[in-house]
Amino acid sequence: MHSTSFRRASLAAAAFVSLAVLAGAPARADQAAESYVATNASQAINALGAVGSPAERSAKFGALMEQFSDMGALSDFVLGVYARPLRADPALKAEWTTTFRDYAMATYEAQLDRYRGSALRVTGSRDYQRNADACSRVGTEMTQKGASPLQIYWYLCKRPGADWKVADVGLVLGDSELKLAITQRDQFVAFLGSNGGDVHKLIARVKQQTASMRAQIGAKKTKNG
Amino acid sequence: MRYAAAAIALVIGAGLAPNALAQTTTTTSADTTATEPGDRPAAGTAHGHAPGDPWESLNRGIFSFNEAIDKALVEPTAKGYRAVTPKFFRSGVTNFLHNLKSPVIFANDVLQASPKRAGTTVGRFAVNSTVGLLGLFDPASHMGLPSHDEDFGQTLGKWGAGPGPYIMLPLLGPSNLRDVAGKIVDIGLDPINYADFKNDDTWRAVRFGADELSARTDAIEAIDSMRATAIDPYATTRSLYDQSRDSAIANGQTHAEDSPESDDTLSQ
Repeated sequence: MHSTSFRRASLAAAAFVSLAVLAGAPARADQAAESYVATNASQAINALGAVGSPAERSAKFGALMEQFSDMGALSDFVLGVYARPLRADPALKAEWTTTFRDYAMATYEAQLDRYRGSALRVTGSRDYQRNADACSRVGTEMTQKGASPLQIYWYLCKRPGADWKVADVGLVLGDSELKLAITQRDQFVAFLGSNGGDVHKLIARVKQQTASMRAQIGAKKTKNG
Repeated sequence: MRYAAAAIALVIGAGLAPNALAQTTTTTSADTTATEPGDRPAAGTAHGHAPGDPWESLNRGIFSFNEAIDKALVEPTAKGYRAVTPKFFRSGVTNFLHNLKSPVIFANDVLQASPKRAGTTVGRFAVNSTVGLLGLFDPASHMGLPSHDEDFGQTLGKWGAGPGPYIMLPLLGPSNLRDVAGKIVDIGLDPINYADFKNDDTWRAVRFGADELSARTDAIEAIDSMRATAIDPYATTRSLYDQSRDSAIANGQTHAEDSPESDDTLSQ
């Protein structure tokens, strides 16, 4: 906790100094993005190990990740070519967005739970542009005693006047980076392709998987306390 | 050399010259901006299979077989191996096996016109084989000589060859036509396969088995996680394989633009 607070203060100070030196010019996107990730990713991971019941920890983690991520864009992206027809049915789109959000939160929690209590360190970043959005790829490293550090890349974008939102997360395994949203899209599109594009069937299947993940997460948390 | 000739014949004979291979590239990972139904046929409806996976039905059958074998035999063996061996022992085995791959890695560094990486590979092999006690330890990584992997499939990809059809190999797992051809060439590039000594076939079989066990042990949590979260483990495995190969060919450089856009930009 102390190292996270110190890092947060250091990044905030660095951003402030940069602003002063540049005489009012905006801080580079990557500095602000790094600060955003350092603060929010740490809070979300710390929530997994916070005091409270497993349900309370899950709720807190989910709330932080939802605030941190662009769930609207993600729920569209992971449907690939099937996203646009869904816009003609707002009720179904809303149901899909809710279903995907629940699934994504359970997935994040399942993947990151073993790193609760870990220290998160920002290792660098790179700016890029997506249409009107300023974006940044922020690298981080999570270290845990007795385990190899895990490299994670956070892809954030910021519309003019809005806050940063995480669009994707990349996990580095060996020499390769594997992106979560891309992987989710590939499997959802495959499922829809095999089921005549029926989003109702996808919703049912995803709800089933979410329930299964929640049961496993709950069992693990009850066991570990 | 006969291995290299066989690989080239396999590629050309299938009518898959580099440009054609690129046209049959698996697009499920690369195509991120198609949100219009008219942009391309919906996966699985026009031809009954996903783009880049013309043998999907057969591949799914082999995947189911592999999963059954993995759950019954391979995974328990990997977990048992982890339970009965200390971490330093397993690290030593991994280091030793990776050090043996240095000649193949070096050859592909050269074929990819990467002199810096080739130099690193030579340096690593020299340091780890001596100071590292025949590769059991990896002091090179602490001397500014980071580890990396290269293979002929990556070499083909570096020079523009697309992956070709996705292939699920019995027992060996995911691959594609380019990488299968590449593997054949790598067997030919490995000097150990030409060495002639007592029980050399047994040694090669043990080496292969140790390599597979070591890799499976390292992947226990990742595969458990995938099985717990995936609604379609076959499609997830395919996606992860495609992404890992694309990333490896690019030496870890990723296309940051292949990510979701904000709602406002999608609606434009």
